[in-house]
Amino acid sequence: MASSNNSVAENNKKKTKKPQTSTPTSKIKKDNKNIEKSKENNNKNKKKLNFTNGNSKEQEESGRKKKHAKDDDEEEDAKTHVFPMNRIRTMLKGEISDLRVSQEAILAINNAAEKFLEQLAEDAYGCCAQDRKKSLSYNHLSRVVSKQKRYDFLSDFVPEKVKAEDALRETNSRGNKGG
Amino acid sequence: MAETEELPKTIVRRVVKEKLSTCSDDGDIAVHKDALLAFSESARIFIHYLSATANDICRESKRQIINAEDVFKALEETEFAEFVGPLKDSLEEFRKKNAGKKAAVPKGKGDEKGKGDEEKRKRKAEGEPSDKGDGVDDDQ
Repeated sequence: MASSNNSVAENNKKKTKKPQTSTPTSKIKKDNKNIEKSKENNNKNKKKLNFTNGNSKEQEESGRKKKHAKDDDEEEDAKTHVFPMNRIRTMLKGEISDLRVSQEAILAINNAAEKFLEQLAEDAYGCCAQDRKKSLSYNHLSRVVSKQKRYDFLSDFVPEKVKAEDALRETNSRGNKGG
Repeated sequence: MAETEELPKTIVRRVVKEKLSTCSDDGDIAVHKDALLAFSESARIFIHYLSATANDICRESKRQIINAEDVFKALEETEFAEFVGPLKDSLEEFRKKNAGKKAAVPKGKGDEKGKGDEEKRKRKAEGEPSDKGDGVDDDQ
Protein backbone atom coordinates (compact mmCIF):
# COMPACT_ATOMS: atom_id res chain seq x y z
CA MET A 1 0.00 0.00 0.00
CA ALA A 2 2.63 2.43 0.98
CA SER A 3 4.43 2.12 -2.29
CA SER A 4 1.26 2.64 -4.33
CA ASN A 5 0.41 5.66 -2.21
CA ASN A 6 3.79 7.08 -2.84
CA SER A 7 3.53 6.60 -6.55
CA VAL A 8 0.14 8.31 -6.51
CA ALA A 9 1.59 11.05 -4.45
CA GLU A 10 4.30 11.52 -7.00
CA ASN A 11 1.73 11.67 -9.75
CA ASN A 12 -0.14 14.26 -7.77
CA LYS A 13 2.95 16.28 -7.29
CA LYS A 14 3.41 16.38 -10.99
CA LYS A 15 -0.22 17.35 -11.36
CA THR A 16 -0.06 20.02 -8.69
CA LYS A 17 2.71 21.69 -10.57
CA LYS A 18 0.25 22.52 -13.31
CA PRO A 19 -2.89 21.30 -11.69
CA GLN A 20 -6.05 22.94 -12.94
CA THR A 21 -4.99 23.72 -16.47
CA SER A 22 -6.43 20.48 -17.65
CA THR A 23 -10.18 20.11 -17.25
CA PRO A 24 -10.72 17.20 -14.98
CA THR A 25 -14.07 15.45 -14.91
CA SER A 26 -16.09 15.53 -11.72
CA LYS A 27 -15.47 11.88 -11.14
CA ILE A 28 -11.80 12.34 -11.23
CA LYS A 29 -12.17 15.37 -9.03
CA LYS A 30 -14.00 13.37 -6.43
CA ASP A 31 -11.45 10.66 -6.57
CA ASN A 32 -8.68 13.16 -6.50
CA LYS A 33 -10.12 15.02 -3.53
CA ASN A 34 -9.85 11.97 -1.37
CA ILE A 35 -6.50 11.10 -2.69
CA GLU A 36 -5.32 14.67 -2.52
CA LYS A 37 -6.10 14.87 1.16
CA SER A 38 -4.05 11.85 1.87
CA LYS A 39 -1.44 13.18 -0.46
CA GLU A 40 -1.35 16.53 1.20
CA ASN A 41 -0.68 14.77 4.42
CA ASN A 42 1.89 12.64 2.71
CA ASN A 43 3.44 15.65 1.10
CA LYS A 44 3.56 17.51 4.36
CA ASN A 45 5.24 14.61 5.96
CA LYS A 46 7.50 14.27 2.99
CA LYS A 47 8.30 17.93 3.00
CA LYS A 48 9.07 17.83 6.64
CA LEU A 49 11.15 14.78 6.19
CA ASN A 50 12.90 16.25 3.23
CA PHE A 51 13.51 19.42 5.11
CA THR A 52 15.03 17.70 8.08
CA ASN A 53 16.91 15.39 5.81
CA GLY A 54 18.34 18.27 3.88
CA ASN A 55 19.33 20.05 7.02
CA SER A 56 20.94 17.09 8.62
CA LYS A 57 22.75 16.33 5.41
CA GLU A 58 24.09 19.83 5.26
CA GLN A 59 25.13 19.60 8.85
CA GLU A 60 26.76 16.29 8.22
CA GLU A 61 28.57 17.65 5.23
CA SER A 62 29.79 20.73 6.99
CA GLY A 63 30.74 18.57 9.91
CA ARG A 64 32.64 16.31 7.60
CA LYS A 65 34.35 19.25 5.99
CA LYS A 66 35.34 20.59 9.37
CA LYS A 67 36.53 17.18 10.39
CA HIS A 68 38.52 16.86 7.20
CA ALA A 69 40.06 20.25 7.70
CA LYS A 70 40.92 19.29 11.25
CA ASP A 71 42.38 16.00 10.14
CA ASP A 72 44.43 17.74 7.51
CA ASP A 73 45.72 20.18 10.08
CA GLU A 74 46.54 17.40 12.45
CA GLU A 75 48.24 15.45 9.74
CA GLU A 76 50.29 18.46 8.77
CA ASP A 77 51.11 19.08 12.39
CA ALA A 78 52.08 15.48 12.83
CA LYS A 79 54.69 15.95 10.18
CA THR A 80 56.53 18.68 12.03
CA HIS A 81 56.06 17.82 15.69
CA VAL A 82 54.62 15.16 17.99
CA PHE A 83 54.02 16.97 21.26
CA PRO A 84 51.44 19.72 21.59
CA MET A 85 53.15 23.08 21.14
CA ASN A 86 51.11 24.75 23.86
CA ARG A 87 52.12 22.11 26.35
CA ILE A 88 55.79 22.76 25.68
CA ARG A 89 55.19 26.48 26.05
CA THR A 90 53.43 26.12 29.40
CA MET A 91 56.19 23.81 30.58
CA LEU A 92 58.79 26.42 29.72
CA LYS A 93 56.78 29.22 31.29
CA GLY A 94 56.36 27.15 34.42
CA GLU A 95 60.11 27.02 34.87
CA ILE A 96 60.98 30.62 34.04
CA SER A 97 57.90 32.82 34.02
CA ASP A 98 59.38 35.71 32.04
CA LEU A 99 60.93 33.42 29.45
CA ARG A 100 60.51 34.65 25.89
CA VAL A 101 60.68 32.00 23.23
CA SER A 102 59.96 32.13 19.51
CA GLN A 103 57.56 29.63 18.00
CA GLU A 104 60.41 28.15 15.98
CA ALA A 105 62.44 27.58 19.12
CA ILE A 106 59.51 25.77 20.69
CA LEU A 107 59.23 23.62 17.60
CA ALA A 108 62.93 22.84 17.84
CA ILE A 109 62.59 21.92 21.52
CA ASN A 110 59.53 19.83 20.70
CA ASN A 111 61.39 17.85 18.05
CA ALA A 112 64.48 17.62 20.21
CA ALA A 113 62.40 16.05 22.97
CA GLU A 114 61.10 13.46 20.52
CA LYS A 115 64.61 12.67 19.30
CA PHE A 116 65.81 12.48 22.84
CA LEU A 117 63.10 9.99 23.78
CA GLU A 118 63.97 7.86 20.77
CA GLN A 119 67.67 7.97 21.63
CA LEU A 120 67.01 7.06 25.23
CA ALA A 121 64.72 4.24 24.14
CA GLU A 122 67.36 2.92 21.78
CA ASP A 123 70.08 3.01 24.42
CA ALA A 124 67.81 1.41 27.00
CA TYR A 125 66.91 -1.28 24.48
CA GLY A 126 70.62 -2.02 24.07
CA CYS A 127 70.79 -2.58 27.80
CA CYS A 128 67.66 -4.68 27.67
CA ALA A 129 69.06 -6.82 24.86
CA GLN A 130 72.24 -7.39 26.86
CA ASP A 131 70.12 -8.88 29.61
CA ARG A 132 68.21 -10.90 26.99
CA LYS A 133 64.97 -9.62 28.42
CA LYS A 134 61.80 -9.08 26.48
CA SER A 135 60.64 -6.23 28.65
CA LEU A 136 62.17 -2.87 29.33
CA SER A 137 62.35 -2.03 33.01
CA TYR A 138 63.36 0.97 35.06
CA ASN A 139 66.75 -0.55 35.83
CA HIS A 140 67.70 -0.59 32.16
CA LEU A 141 67.02 3.10 31.97
CA SER A 142 68.87 3.99 35.15
CA ARG A 143 71.85 1.92 34.02
CA VAL A 144 71.99 3.83 30.73
CA VAL A 145 71.74 7.12 32.58
CA SER A 146 74.58 6.24 34.92
CA LYS A 147 76.75 4.88 32.10
CA GLN A 148 76.61 7.64 29.51
CA LYS A 149 78.08 10.96 30.38
CA ARG A 150 75.62 13.00 28.37
CA TYR A 151 72.73 11.67 30.46
CA ASP A 152 74.36 13.02 33.62
CA PHE A 153 71.72 15.69 34.00
CA LEU A 154 69.20 12.91 34.62
CA SER A 155 71.14 11.20 37.35
CA ASP A 156 69.12 12.83 40.13
CA PHE A 157 65.82 12.06 38.47
CA VAL A 158 66.48 8.52 37.23
CA PRO A 159 68.80 7.20 39.93
CA GLU A 160 69.93 3.61 40.11
CA LYS A 161 67.95 1.62 42.58
CA VAL A 162 69.96 0.75 45.64
CA LYS A 163 69.02 -1.64 48.39
CA ALA A 164 68.11 0.16 51.57
CA GLU A 165 70.67 -1.71 53.66
CA ASP A 166 73.42 -0.87 51.16
CA ALA A 167 72.45 2.78 51.17
CA LEU A 168 72.31 2.82 54.97
CA ARG A 169 75.66 1.12 55.26
CA GLU A 170 77.16 3.65 52.85
CA THR A 171 75.77 6.67 54.68
CA ASN A 172 76.83 5.19 58.00
CA SER A 173 80.35 4.59 56.81
CA ARG A 174 80.46 8.10 55.41
CA GLY A 175 79.18 9.45 58.69
CA ASN A 176 81.83 7.52 60.57
CA LYS A 177 84.53 8.78 58.25
CA GLY A 178 83.27 12.32 58.61
CA GLY A 179 83.03 12.02 62.39
CA MET B 1 52.98 18.64 39.77
CA ALA B 2 50.29 20.02 37.54
CA GLU B 3 49.40 17.82 34.64
CA THR B 4 49.91 20.65 32.19
CA GLU B 5 53.60 20.66 33.05
CA GLU B 6 54.07 17.07 32.07
CA LEU B 7 54.27 15.54 28.64
CA PRO B 8 51.22 13.59 27.48
CA LYS B 9 51.79 9.98 28.54
CA THR B 10 50.10 8.50 25.49
CA ILE B 11 52.44 10.33 23.13
CA VAL B 12 55.50 9.36 25.18
CA ARG B 13 54.38 5.75 25.11
CA ARG B 14 53.79 5.86 21.36
CA VAL B 15 57.20 7.37 20.60
CA VAL B 16 59.00 4.87 22.82
CA LYS B 17 57.02 1.89 21.51
CA GLU B 18 57.59 2.86 17.90
CA LYS B 19 61.30 3.25 18.48
CA LEU B 20 61.53 -0.07 20.27
CA SER B 21 59.68 -1.86 17.51
CA THR B 22 62.25 -0.60 14.99
CA CYS B 23 65.09 -1.64 17.32
CA SER B 24 64.01 -5.18 18.07
CA ASP B 25 63.93 -7.90 15.45
CA ASP B 26 61.55 -10.25 17.20
CA GLY B 27 58.22 -9.09 18.49
CA ASP B 28 57.16 -6.31 20.80
CA ILE B 29 59.20 -5.21 23.75
CA ALA B 30 57.05 -4.65 26.79
CA VAL B 31 57.71 -1.46 28.69
CA HIS B 32 57.25 -1.50 32.45
CA LYS B 33 55.07 1.17 33.91
CA ASP B 34 57.85 2.68 36.01
CA ALA B 35 60.13 2.67 32.96
CA LEU B 36 57.54 4.60 31.01
CA LEU B 37 57.24 7.08 33.84
CA ALA B 38 61.01 7.45 33.83
CA PHE B 39 60.94 8.05 30.07
CA SER B 40 58.33 10.75 30.49
CA GLU B 41 60.18 12.41 33.35
CA SER B 42 63.48 12.23 31.48
CA ALA B 43 61.97 13.98 28.47
CA ARG B 44 60.50 16.64 30.73
CA ILE B 45 63.83 17.24 32.44
CA PHE B 46 65.53 17.26 29.06
CA ILE B 47 63.19 20.01 27.86
CA HIS B 48 63.99 22.14 30.90
CA TYR B 49 67.70 21.41 30.62
CA LEU B 50 67.71 22.29 26.94
CA SER B 51 65.66 25.46 27.36
CA ALA B 52 67.80 26.64 30.26
CA THR B 53 70.93 26.13 28.18
CA ALA B 54 69.33 27.91 25.23
CA ASN B 55 68.30 30.72 27.55
CA ASP B 56 71.90 31.16 28.70
CA ILE B 57 73.14 31.22 25.10
CA CYS B 58 70.48 33.77 24.21
CA ARG B 59 71.44 36.03 27.12
CA GLU B 60 75.11 35.79 26.28
CA SER B 61 74.36 37.29 22.88
CA LYS B 62 72.19 39.92 24.60
CA ARG B 63 68.96 39.06 22.86
CA GLN B 64 65.53 38.93 24.45
CA ILE B 65 63.82 36.07 22.65
CA ILE B 66 65.13 32.55 22.35
CA ASN B 67 65.19 31.45 18.72
CA ALA B 68 65.70 28.12 17.02
CA GLU B 69 69.40 28.80 16.50
CA ASP B 70 69.89 29.10 20.27
CA VAL B 71 68.24 25.72 20.72
CA PHE B 72 70.56 24.15 18.14
CA LYS B 73 73.59 25.61 19.88
CA ALA B 74 72.24 24.36 23.19
CA LEU B 75 71.94 20.87 21.71
CA GLU B 76 75.56 20.99 20.65
CA GLU B 77 76.57 22.13 24.09
CA THR B 78 74.64 19.36 25.79
CA GLU B 79 76.25 16.68 23.62
CA PHE B 80 73.17 15.98 21.54
CA ALA B 81 74.59 17.55 18.40
CA GLU B 82 73.38 14.70 16.22
CA PHE B 83 69.80 15.95 16.61
CA VAL B 84 70.57 19.27 14.98
CA GLY B 85 70.55 18.06 11.36
CA PRO B 86 67.11 16.46 11.38
CA LEU B 87 65.73 19.31 13.47
CA LYS B 88 66.82 21.85 10.90
CA ASP B 89 65.03 19.85 8.25
CA SER B 90 61.76 19.82 10.14
CA LEU B 91 62.15 23.52 10.95
CA GLU B 92 62.49 24.21 7.25
CA GLU B 93 59.32 22.21 6.65
CA PHE B 94 57.57 24.20 9.34
CA ARG B 95 58.63 27.46 7.71
CA LYS B 96 57.43 26.34 4.32
CA LYS B 97 54.12 25.26 5.77
CA ASN B 98 53.62 28.60 7.51
CA ALA B 99 54.55 30.50 4.35
CA GLY B 100 51.96 28.44 2.46
CA LYS B 101 49.32 29.22 5.06
CA LYS B 102 50.02 32.91 4.87
CA ALA B 103 49.83 32.87 1.08
CA ALA B 104 46.54 31.00 1.27
CA VAL B 105 44.93 33.78 3.34
CA PRO B 106 44.84 36.88 1.18
CA LYS B 107 44.20 40.00 3.26
CA GLY B 108 45.23 43.41 1.95
CA LYS B 109 47.71 44.35 4.65
CA GLY B 110 48.36 40.82 5.73
CA ASP B 111 49.47 39.95 2.23
CA GLU B 112 52.17 42.56 2.16
CA LYS B 113 53.24 41.64 5.62
CA GLY B 114 53.29 37.99 4.67
CA LYS B 115 55.40 38.76 1.65
CA GLY B 116 57.83 40.65 3.79
CA ASP B 117 58.04 37.74 6.18
CA GLU B 118 58.52 35.31 3.36
CA GLU B 119 61.32 37.36 1.92
CA LYS B 120 62.92 37.58 5.29
CA ARG B 121 62.64 33.82 5.63
CA LYS B 122 64.12 33.30 2.21
CA ARG B 123 67.03 35.51 3.09
CA LYS B 124 67.44 33.68 6.34
CA ALA B 125 67.25 30.34 4.56
CA GLU B 126 69.81 31.47 2.05
CA GLY B 127 72.10 32.62 4.80
CA GLU B 128 72.10 29.21 6.42
CA PRO B 129 72.37 26.59 3.73
CA SER B 130 76.08 25.89 4.07
CA ASP B 131 76.04 24.80 7.69
CA LYS B 132 72.63 23.22 7.28
CA GLY B 133 73.89 21.10 4.42
CA ASP B 134 76.86 20.04 6.51
CA GLY B 135 74.61 19.01 9.34
CA VAL B 136 72.49 16.87 7.06
CA ASP B 137 75.49 15.25 5.42
CA ASP B 138 77.06 14.48 8.75
CA ASP B 139 73.92 12.86 9.94
CA GLN B 140 73.19 10.77 6.93
